[in-house]
Amino acid sequence: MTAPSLDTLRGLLSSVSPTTDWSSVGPDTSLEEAGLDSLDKATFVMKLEEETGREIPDDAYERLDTMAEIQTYLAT
Amino acid sequence: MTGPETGIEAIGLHIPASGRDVLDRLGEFDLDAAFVRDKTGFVRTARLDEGQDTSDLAVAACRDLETRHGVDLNGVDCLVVVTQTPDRGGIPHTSAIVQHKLGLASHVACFDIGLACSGYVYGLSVIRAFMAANGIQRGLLVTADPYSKVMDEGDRNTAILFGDGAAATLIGPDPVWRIGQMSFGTKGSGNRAITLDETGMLSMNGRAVFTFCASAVPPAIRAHLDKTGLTLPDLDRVLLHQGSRYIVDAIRTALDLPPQVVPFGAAETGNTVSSSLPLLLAECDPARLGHVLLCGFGAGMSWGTTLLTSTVAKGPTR
Repeated sequence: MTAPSLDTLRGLLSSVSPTTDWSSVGPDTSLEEAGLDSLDKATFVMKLEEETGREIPDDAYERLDTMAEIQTYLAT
Repeated sequence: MTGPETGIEAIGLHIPASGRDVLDRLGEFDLDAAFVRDKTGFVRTARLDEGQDTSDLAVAACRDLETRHGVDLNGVDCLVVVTQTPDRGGIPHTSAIVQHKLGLASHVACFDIGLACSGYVYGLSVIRAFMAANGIQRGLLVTADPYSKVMDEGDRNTAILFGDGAAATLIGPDPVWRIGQMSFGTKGSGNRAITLDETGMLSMNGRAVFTFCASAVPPAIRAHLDKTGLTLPDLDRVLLHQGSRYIVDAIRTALDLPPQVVPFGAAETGNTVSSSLPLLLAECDPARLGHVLLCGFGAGMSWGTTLLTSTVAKGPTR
């Protein structure tokens, strides 16, 4: 599996939460601490599932909180 | 006899005086005010008044029909209550208790419908068909679903969203809203997204609910419009179940409609489940709005869509 690039993830994050400058958020930074609230996270992951064709189950959804974690999860 | 013009004549409402100010609970739930105002949208959630039950909410909404619209409830021959939180766990059906409290005659047919946020649209279809099949001229469709009865007030997933309220819709031969054909759907695989847990308390998977709403509702509305021959620009209002401001905005954006066409009107009540659509519809002036689409969606997962057409519109003005 090919994981989405950081640019792809940042683009998705910008589309759902445009008030945060996601270009300055590092791969290991907590998305929640960077400003992704619970509702925007639901939208972000829905778009991510559409983009990748991968379903992210609830247990992984709760766990994944950085772009690096998302990339690692989707690479397996 | 029930004729083709049978539709919505009037709507009575009741929101209890009691409630919770969500902005006073920000610390309790680790929330900020902007999230409440701009995302969930509910700054207050209504709660049943002390000593009240579901039937009392329903009765109050029916009394509002009498006092505000001058309706004579003695002219009603059937009474349908949509609820998933009935009095006494559902035995007997709440509609029988409401009939008794209203003092209606014994010939009045009464039954309940166990649906949540899609319940108003289903209820309109069921009561109209029931009236037509049995030659009933006027009937009452009551929605009353006080989720606070089964809610943990400390549960952030539900306590800041759901509010208690009721609506009583008079169905009869002199409607202001003609009821069109309906479309329905069910995704039973999501039946655990909103449910009672093993302790009997309300549990909600917010992510699952949002994903269902955002993915299923826009295509359902488009598919329904295809059946009617209308297009989105023909609609004066699209009334969506008020699950949250965020859900309403997401669906509105997917449909590419302006905010004034797709209102959010539940900031002071909370998500009143099956009553959210009639509460919104009651704010629509049939003299000014020609076509109003209703879409209810939620627990089940279940959805229903219909188109109302004003019988008294003088021309649409947005």
